Amino acid sequence: MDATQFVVQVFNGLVIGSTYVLVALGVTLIYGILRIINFAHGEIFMLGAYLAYFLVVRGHLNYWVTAGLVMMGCAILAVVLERVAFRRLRGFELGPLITSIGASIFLQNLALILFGGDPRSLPTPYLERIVHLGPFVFSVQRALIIPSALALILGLYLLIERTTMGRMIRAVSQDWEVASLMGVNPIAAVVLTFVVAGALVAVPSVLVAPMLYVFPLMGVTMTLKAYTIVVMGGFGNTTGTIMAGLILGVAESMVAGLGASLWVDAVSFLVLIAFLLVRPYGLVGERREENA
Amino acid sequence: MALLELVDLTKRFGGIEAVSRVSLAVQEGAITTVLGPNGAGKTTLFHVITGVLRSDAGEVRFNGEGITGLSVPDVVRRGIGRTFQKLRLFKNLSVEQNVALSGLSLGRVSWTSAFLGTRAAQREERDAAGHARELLELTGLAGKEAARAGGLAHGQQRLLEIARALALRPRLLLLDEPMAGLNPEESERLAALILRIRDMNITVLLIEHHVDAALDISDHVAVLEFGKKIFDGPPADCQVDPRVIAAYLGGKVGP
Amino acid sequence: MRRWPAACRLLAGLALYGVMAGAAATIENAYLVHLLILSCIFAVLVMSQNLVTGYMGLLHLCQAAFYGIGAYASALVAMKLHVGVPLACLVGTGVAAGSGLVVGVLSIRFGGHYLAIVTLGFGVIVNQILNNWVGLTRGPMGLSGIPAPPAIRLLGLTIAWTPYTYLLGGLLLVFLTYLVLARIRDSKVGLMMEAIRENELAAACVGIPTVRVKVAAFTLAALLAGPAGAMYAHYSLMLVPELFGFFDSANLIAMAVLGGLGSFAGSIASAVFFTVVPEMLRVAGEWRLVIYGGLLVVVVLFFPKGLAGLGTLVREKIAGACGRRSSRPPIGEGEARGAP
Repeated sequence: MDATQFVVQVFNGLVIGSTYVLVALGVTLIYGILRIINFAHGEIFMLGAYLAYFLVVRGHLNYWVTAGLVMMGCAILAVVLERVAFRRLRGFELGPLITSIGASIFLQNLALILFGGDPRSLPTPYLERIVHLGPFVFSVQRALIIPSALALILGLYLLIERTTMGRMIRAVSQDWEVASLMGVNPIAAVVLTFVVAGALVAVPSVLVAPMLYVFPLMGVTMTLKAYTIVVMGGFGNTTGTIMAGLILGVAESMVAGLGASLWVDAVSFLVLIAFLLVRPYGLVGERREENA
Repeated sequence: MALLELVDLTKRFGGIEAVSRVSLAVQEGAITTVLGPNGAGKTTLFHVITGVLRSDAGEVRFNGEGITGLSVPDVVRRGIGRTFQKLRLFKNLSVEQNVALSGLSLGRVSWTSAFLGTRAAQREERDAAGHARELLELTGLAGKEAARAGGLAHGQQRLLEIARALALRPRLLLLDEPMAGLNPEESERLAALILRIRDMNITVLLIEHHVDAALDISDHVAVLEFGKKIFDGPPADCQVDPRVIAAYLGGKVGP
Repeated sequence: MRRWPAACRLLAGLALYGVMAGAAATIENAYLVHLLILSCIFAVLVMSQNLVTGYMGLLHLCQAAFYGIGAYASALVAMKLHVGVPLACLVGTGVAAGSGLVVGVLSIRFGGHYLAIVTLGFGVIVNQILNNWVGLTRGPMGLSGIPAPPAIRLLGLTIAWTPYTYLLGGLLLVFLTYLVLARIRDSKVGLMMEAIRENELAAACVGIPTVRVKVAAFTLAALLAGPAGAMYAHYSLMLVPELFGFFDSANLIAMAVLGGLGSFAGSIASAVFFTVVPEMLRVAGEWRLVIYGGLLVVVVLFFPKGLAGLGTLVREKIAGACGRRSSRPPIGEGEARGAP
C-alpha cells in the first residue's frame, strides 16, 4: 500500500468510523439513561434505510427532504420501541435485553416479508460524483458523511451540555431517583433520549445506505459493531465512543485495504477482546463500580 | 487493640472526595457510631471498608492485617459482616435460607461434595439451618423460617438482615442505618439487640441517623461532614461539640 | 418430589425413562422421531442456556457457538484423526468446555453487559472461523460424511444405530442433563446462584465468591452444549456453519424465556414444543420468525414465567388441594438490584 492508498484508506476509515459513531452514540445514550443494551438499534437503522428508499425511489422526493423525514421517522420508531419493549420493565435487568432481541427478530423478519430479501439500491444525486484533491480521488457521497457527522456530534454536544433538555438527560442518567425528587420528569428524559438516538441513526441510514445495498439484515452487523464500540469507548461515555468508532473504522479500512476483506467483521471482535484484556473500562472511562 | 483501623482513607468520584482522609480506630468489643448529615460519606465509608468500592488512597487494617483492595468475599471471610441502608435481602428465598446461606457459603464443604450430596454436605446443611434458627430466635423472628423474605414487614426485614450478617460469625459487624423506618418501640428493641450483640463479643460499627438512640448505646462516636471527620470521641462530648452542632444546623443533636 | 430420598428418586427417574422409551417405540412416524431427536438436543441446549440466563441471570449470546464447537470438534477429530466416535464426543465436549472457561474467565468479572457483548462477539468470531477457514471446516459447504457411532455391544446383543437408538440416546442425554442441573439447584451451589441473581452485592457480602460461581455456571453451560453438538454431528452426519450463528443463540434464549426462566422442566417443554409443534402444524414459514420475535416481547412483558408458570399454577392447585406448599418458586420478574 503506497502513501496515496494509505491516505485514501484512512479517509474511508474515517467515513465508516463516523457512521459507526453515529449509531453507537445512540446506543451509548440509551445505555447511559436506562442501563440497558438495545439490541434492536440496528433495525432502526435498517428501517430508516428502507424509508429513505421508498421516499426517494417511489415517492420521488428530494434527497435532502427525505433525509429530514427519515430523521423524524427514526425518532418516532425509537420512541415506539421504548414504549412497547422497555417501559414496563424498569427494574428487571434481563427483561429489556430479551425484549430488544425479540424486537430485533420481529423487525428483521417483518421487513423480510414486507420488502422481500432482494437488496435494493438507493440512488442519490451524489453517488456518481467524484472530487479530485491533488493526487487523491474521493467520492462525494462519502465525503458528505464526515461533515454531517461532525455537525451532528456538535449538535449533540450543544444539546447535552447547554440546553435544559440536555440537563434533564444528564441528571436522570446519573441518578434516576434523585433527579425525580428534584422535579425532573424521568420518562420525558427517556423519551427525549430515544428521539435523539433515533435521529442520530437516521443519518447513516440516509447517507450510507446508498453505498451499500438496502436489505432486511443490514442492521445486524451494525448492531454488533455499535456494541463493540460502546465497550471500547466505555459504556455511557460519549467521548470514548467517538474515539472508538473512528479507530474501529480506520482499523477495518486498513484490513480491507490489505486484502483480507473476508475477515473485516472479525476485526471488530478481535479488537473487542483485546480491549477487554487490557482496558476493560474503555479508552477513556474510569473504573465503573456497578454495585454500590 | 484497635480491631479496625482506617488510615487516611480517601475515595473520589469524579472531582469530589466522598471520603476525605478519614482515619479512625475502632476498638474491639466496643460499639462505635458514625454520624453525619446526609451525603457526609458514611455509606461510602462502609463500601470502602468492605471492598465494594476501591479506595483511592489510604489503608484499611483489620485485626492487624491490611485488607485494602481485597475483594468483597475475601473481606467477609476475614470476619466482617454488614447490613445495608437500603435493604438487600434475597427476597424470593425463605427467611431461613437467607440466614443459612451465610453458613453455607463460608462452609468448608466443596462444591463437588455438595453436588454429590455427601454426608458431610448434608451435615453442613443441617448445621447451617440449625444456626440460622438460633439466630432467628435471637432476633425475634422465630416461627417465620419458611416465609418468603420479601413478604416480611419492614422492621422484620431489618432484623433478618442482621441475623444474616450474624450467621457469618463475624468479629466486626457493620450496621448501616439499621433503625431506618422503624417506630420508636422497634428502635428500642433493636438497640437492645445491638447491646446483646456486643455482649456476644462482636464489635459493632454503626451508622445511624436516629442520633439519640445511637448515642445511648455507643461507646465511641465519629462524625463525618462532606467526607471529612470532624469529631472523634465519647458520645457525651459529641453532643456539645460546636462543629457537630453546626454540621447538623439545628438538627437532632442535643440533650 | 425433592423431599423423597435419593434412591427413591433414582428409581422414579429410571421408571420414567423406561416409560418414555417404551412410548417412543410405538411412534411409527419417522419424521416425528426425527423431530423428537432434535427436541432432545435442543432440550439440553435450552436447559444449559437457562442455567446461565434464567438461573444466574446473565445474558449470554453464544450458546449456539459452543454447540457448534462441540459438533465440529467431535466431527473433525473423528474424521481427520480417525478416532472412535465415543472418544471424539468427549473431545468435542472438552473443547466446548474449554472455550467456555476461557470466555467466562475473561469476561464475567466485568459485569453482565460486558458478558453479553463479548459472547456476542465470540459467537460471531466462531461463525466467521467456521465459514472462512475452508481448509479445516470446508467453509459454507460444510462437513459431510461424518462417521456414525459404532454399533453397541451390550449383553451379547448388537444394537445398531437406528433412529430409535438415537432417540433413546437423546432421551438419556436429556435425563442426565436434567439430573445434573437439578442436583446443582438443590445443593448449596444452586442456592448461592439464586442469591447472586436476587442481589449480587448482598451475595458477595455473605461471602459468596460471586465471580467464581458465575464462571462455573457459564463453563458448565458450555460443557453441556458439547455433547449436544457431538450428538447432532454424529446423527445428521453433516454440518454447516449456518446452524450455529447469532440467530440460533437468540433462538435458544427465546426458548428458555418461553419455557420459563429458571425452570429446567420448562426448558424441556419449551424445546419440544417449539421444535415439534410448528413443524407439525406447518405454520406459515415466513411468519414463524415474526411471531417468534413478537412472542418473545409479549412473554417477557406479560407472562414472565412462561410455560413453567402454567406448570406451577397446576402444581399449586394440586398441592393446595393436598394441603402442602410448593418449595422455592420458579423465577419470574427479577428483583431490581438495590431496590429497598
